[in-house]
Amino acid sequence: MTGKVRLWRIILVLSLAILLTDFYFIFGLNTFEDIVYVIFYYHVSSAWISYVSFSLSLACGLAVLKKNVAKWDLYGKNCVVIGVFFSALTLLTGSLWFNATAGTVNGNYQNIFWTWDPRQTATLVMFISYLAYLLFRNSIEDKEKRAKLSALLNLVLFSMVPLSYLSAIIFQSTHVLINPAPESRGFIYWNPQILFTLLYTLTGVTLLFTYILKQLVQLDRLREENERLIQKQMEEK
Amino acid sequence: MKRSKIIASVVLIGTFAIILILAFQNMRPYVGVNEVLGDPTKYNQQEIQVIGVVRDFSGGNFNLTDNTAYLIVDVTGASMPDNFTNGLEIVVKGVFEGPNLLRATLILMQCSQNPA
Repeated sequence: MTGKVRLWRIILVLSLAILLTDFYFIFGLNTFEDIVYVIFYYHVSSAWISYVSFSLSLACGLAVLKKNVAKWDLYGKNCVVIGVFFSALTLLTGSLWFNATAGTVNGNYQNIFWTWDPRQTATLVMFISYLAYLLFRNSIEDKEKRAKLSALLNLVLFSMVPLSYLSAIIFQSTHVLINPAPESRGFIYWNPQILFTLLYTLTGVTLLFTYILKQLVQLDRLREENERLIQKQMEEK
Repeated sequence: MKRSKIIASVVLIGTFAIILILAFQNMRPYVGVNEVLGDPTKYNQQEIQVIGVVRDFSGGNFNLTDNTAYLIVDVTGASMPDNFTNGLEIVVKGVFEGPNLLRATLILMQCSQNPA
């Protein structure tokens, strides 16, 4: 086993160990009245990974445009794949959280998952935009042209990321804001246990993200190599 | 790139652009009490979502305030959430009837209510 392979295995084991023991901190240390607050940790983590993924894909796009290096295109594309998946997870967990915390009537949830809240809408738009980016990529066959056009599209689409984050600040929104002032709108009680559990979850999810990204890029490289060999064989025949 | 692929890409991007425009058109930022009372004609007979704090609640209608002004919320068309009490930050969806009456159709707690 080479040193690199060993390192990636350690990262995988570490991330899975963190995510499994995470349940101990979520259930064991917190004194939540309702189990539904478990959603909170995975909602924030998903949103974090989607923002990080899209930011990295932008950096990769810039590297493609500046240095014309193909490997950054593969990293950029796979960052978007992961970002799209985690955006979907963010929307799903956010809707569940909204319904669960919007109050009950006679003990029953009100079954309201979507209210076109600015944060909800902006995140949906971000998700759809990057989904379109992936479909757009697939429609271009030429590798070099695909890398450059995708990088350019990425530059335009990235505006959705700060818009998604800032939408809860710019517009009136019921979304929680990370704000320690107890009297502020959107205040959430950041006791040390909640903060620790959140950071612990974020660490586990981020490590898992790096591992998945590496594996997806590896898979794409193998696919490209396979296509190259098939092409070569056909030419020889 | 083949011509058919270019057409497919244009159609694809066009479709997504329409979806994005529709999403932004549907986006409903919540309005504050002051915002509504500052321009009551703009919101008159409109369905709006107002964010504010509950005051003077004793089982029926209550006042929704931002600590500077207040709206009277008529709750006859809405179900009252459990554990509803004064001081809660909530969202009231309903039809505004000037000068300061909001006929509620839905009352939601703010999703940031402290879980601990």
